[in-house]
Amino acid sequence: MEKHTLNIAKVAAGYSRKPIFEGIEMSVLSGQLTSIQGRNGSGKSTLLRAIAGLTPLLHGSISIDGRSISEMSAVERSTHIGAVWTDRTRIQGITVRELVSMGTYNGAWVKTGLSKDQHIEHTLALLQLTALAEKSTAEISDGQLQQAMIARALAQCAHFLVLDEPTTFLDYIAKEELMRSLKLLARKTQIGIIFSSHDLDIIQAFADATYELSEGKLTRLNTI
Amino acid sequence: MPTYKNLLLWMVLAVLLMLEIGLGTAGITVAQVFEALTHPQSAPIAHSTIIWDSRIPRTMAAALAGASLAWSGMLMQTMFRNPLAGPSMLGISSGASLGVALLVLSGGTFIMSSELGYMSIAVAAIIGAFAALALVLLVAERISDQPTLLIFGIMLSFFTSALVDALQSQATNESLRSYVNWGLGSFADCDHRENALMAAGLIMSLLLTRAILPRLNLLLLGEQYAGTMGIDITQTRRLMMVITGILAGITTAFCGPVSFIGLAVPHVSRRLIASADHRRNLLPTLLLGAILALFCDLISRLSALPLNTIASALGAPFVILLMLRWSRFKSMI
Repeated sequence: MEKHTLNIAKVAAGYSRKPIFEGIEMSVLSGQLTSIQGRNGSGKSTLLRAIAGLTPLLHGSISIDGRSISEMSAVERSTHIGAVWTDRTRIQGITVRELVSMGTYNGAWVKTGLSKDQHIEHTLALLQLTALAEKSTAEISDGQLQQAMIARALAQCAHFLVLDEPTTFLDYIAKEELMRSLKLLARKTQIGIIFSSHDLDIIQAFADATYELSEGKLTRLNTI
Repeated sequence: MPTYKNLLLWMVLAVLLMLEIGLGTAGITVAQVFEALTHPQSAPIAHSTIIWDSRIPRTMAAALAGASLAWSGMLMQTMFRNPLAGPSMLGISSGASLGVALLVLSGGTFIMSSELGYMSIAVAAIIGAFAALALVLLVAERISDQPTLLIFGIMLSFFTSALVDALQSQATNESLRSYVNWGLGSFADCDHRENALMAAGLIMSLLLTRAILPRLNLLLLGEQYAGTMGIDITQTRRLMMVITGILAGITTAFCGPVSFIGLAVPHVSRRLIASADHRRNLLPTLLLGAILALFCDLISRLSALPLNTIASALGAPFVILLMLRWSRFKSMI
């Protein structure tokens, strides 16, 4: 499978031209789980939003396979990076299948060689959502909704997935299950996953590379 | 959407269209209405005139305005992820009101009596609506936060209302009456030309909608998701505002600021088909908008009460119900 690299070089980002962090250097490989830990307000979410192309950089660059994400159109960027944010977005009136199919908007599913419906089926199966496909997103548990949101991002066929505190609303069993399925997913599909978390046990058990964001600086803690 | 619900809406619309054309205070019997419709040359001229020059244009105006306001309401609610958003938000209706107030209340009454004068009200309303829209677009480029933009729209409405109040306090009785009449909302003054313009606006808006229809569902998840799924948020927002501006601006220009239809219909549509999918909601929203507008106009005609009085009397309890069941509705958009 193709290998991809996400490279963050000398990045500074923030609001009202005031940097929350600066000099960020980070390299993320496909097929790995990379974690970012840090206290509340340390800028983890801003960094993830910058990686997803939603927060403009004050300095530096973020590139995938040597191509800067700021030069990409919204559609092209979505074929490189998918995201799941920490808010509990729960909309009624759509089924799990409809939610996952939203991810096919960018058209990248054509490179899978499957039909659109087959691709959606395959993505649902990857996250064990086949049985829930016709259920309303309002009827499923928090853990299942999180899986469905991840499946939606996977349906984009992106090389990297940004997850902002993916285990926040989950109980300890659902947390472990989610992280285990993410690890399996990364190995199986070679997608690179970058996630933020407060949960040091989860990070220690599942992350391949660990970073800490503190006082505006990012430090690499270990490589397993 | 299930075919039977679709069919049901078409049937209700057909019945209301017939009632709007058939019923009235002129004492024309059903047979005479039928004669005026099928043989306008041989029917008594008074009957033909009432049917063809009064009731049919009014009926068409109600259907077109209802459909336009309903779809612009749907777009507003999606854009702001707020169940209480409607075309009157964002200051579009108040911009139109200010345009008309400036024309009518600041001494423009002398042109009111002529045909050109009536069209000038529409032009003033359209200019006012688009001026408000341009201002909101300008602000939207700087404010990415939707609730803040919504508050800006509401504040703009307050500000324009203040200007209108100031103009009203200085106006003559005659010009004040003209303005108040326009403000009460009515489909009665629309002729075939104005209906053709409203139809053109609706068709143009639907063509533009076609270009963004697949993106609208993604916006249900919010802009921070849509932005990572391949949607150019700025361009989509601009297009949605332009569509809303065309729909609400033209309708308000010809029919006055008609309240509640734009707010209420999208909710009814989503409940009816039990889905928030815009592709499935498009037709029911347009049909329901036309149905509600025709229904309000019919009651307004038969009771001799102003259109907005009827729309508000029906709409206010609906909004109260909406507030009481806020969380349930909120999650639907």
